[in-house]
Amino acid sequence: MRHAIQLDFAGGRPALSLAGGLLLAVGVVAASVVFLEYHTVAQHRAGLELKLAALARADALAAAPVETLADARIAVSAEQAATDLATPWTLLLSELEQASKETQGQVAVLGVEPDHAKHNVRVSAEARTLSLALAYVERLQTSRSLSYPMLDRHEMRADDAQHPVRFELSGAWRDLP
Amino acid sequence: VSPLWRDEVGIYLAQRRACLVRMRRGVRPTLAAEVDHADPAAAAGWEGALTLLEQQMNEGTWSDARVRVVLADHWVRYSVVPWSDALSSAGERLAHARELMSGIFGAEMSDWTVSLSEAPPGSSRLASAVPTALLQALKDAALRHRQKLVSVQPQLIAAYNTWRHVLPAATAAWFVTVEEGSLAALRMCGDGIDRVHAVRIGLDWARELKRLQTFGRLASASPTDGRVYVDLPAALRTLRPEGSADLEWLDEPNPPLTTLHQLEHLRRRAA
Repeated sequence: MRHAIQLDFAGGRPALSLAGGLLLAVGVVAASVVFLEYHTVAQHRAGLELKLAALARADALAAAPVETLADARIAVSAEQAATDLATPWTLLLSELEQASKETQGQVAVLGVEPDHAKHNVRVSAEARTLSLALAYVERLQTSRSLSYPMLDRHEMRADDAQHPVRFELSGAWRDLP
Repeated sequence: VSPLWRDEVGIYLAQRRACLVRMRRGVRPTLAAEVDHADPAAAAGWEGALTLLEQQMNEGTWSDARVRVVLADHWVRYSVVPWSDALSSAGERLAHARELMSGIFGAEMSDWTVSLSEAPPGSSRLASAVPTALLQALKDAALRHRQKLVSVQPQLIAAYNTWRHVLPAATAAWFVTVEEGSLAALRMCGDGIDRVHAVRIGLDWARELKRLQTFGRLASASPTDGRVYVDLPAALRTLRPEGSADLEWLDEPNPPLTTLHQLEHLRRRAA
């Protein structure tokens, strides 16, 4: 059959035929079915995502204490490291060593204990005589890194044949720029 | 009533004649009313035909409907527009068609509205022109009578579309439609239409049909022209020349289904 000549001065389109109407109805129904199917699948997917998110949250909560403790330890260590770094170790040790040298080795430093909370340092040492120990303390009183070092206690060691004097002094350290 | 199921009114306008049919829409459209209003005393131009139409419209049977109008070829001009690769838009193709028709019919085409048929790329198109004032008058009439003008087609196009199911699909052939005062013909080739003519004819029908028979004989003798299929008003069938085997007379094979089929049926029956 020949094709119709589509020529119209009103720009009109052919009226909706029965076959065209049926085809349109089938198309609309098919599109509706596809949309409903899509909607169902989308809802199912949203439900699965919610479940997945809930599971992920539960896993995170279960792992949280371990992580919190670890984090706390790390935080404490970092704080400790920062505090240690803030202590003027280099100058303090250098002045303790210099003071020992000035006594010609008559005073030996046995230990140095910083107390960060009180911002002071406790030095344990041993001297041949009490006067040497007092001179050592006096020498440190001119130190740049310690302020007001004081002799806290001393004792003569009777178990040693030379009877040396073990003493402890403490003083606040200065924060140098 | 849903706009999809509004009644349709078909209007055929020819010289001194207006045919109207009203189809009630539905799964099977039915004929609600029809009238063939001819007045030999009416003016010959399309203004006279519009006056006859207006007289019918005022009776009220035809309002509140979609309207399809078929115009007699007497007021229509045609041309075949060859395909051009240089034209890319519908606007350019229409301007080209108008230019082509101005070359054929003269500068007076400025008062005519041109329409171009749809066709696949590479195929020639059929251009048609009707007076712009006639189109505007039809739109105004539709507005006045609460009608929606959905289609305005020339008779050649409407008749061809009505008969296309009996025309040869692949071989070349002529299709001719005849009305009072004019004859229009187009030649179908393999992929479209390659020639179109619309001529004024006299009232001596016997003589005009003999001329048509001669044309059919010449066309049949030509291997490129093929058969000639003639759409003839029923009243003229008795005037068919004897021995006109070179012409294929188109008869009503099926009951009319659409508004335009019904209108064509009325036009052929009442002429």
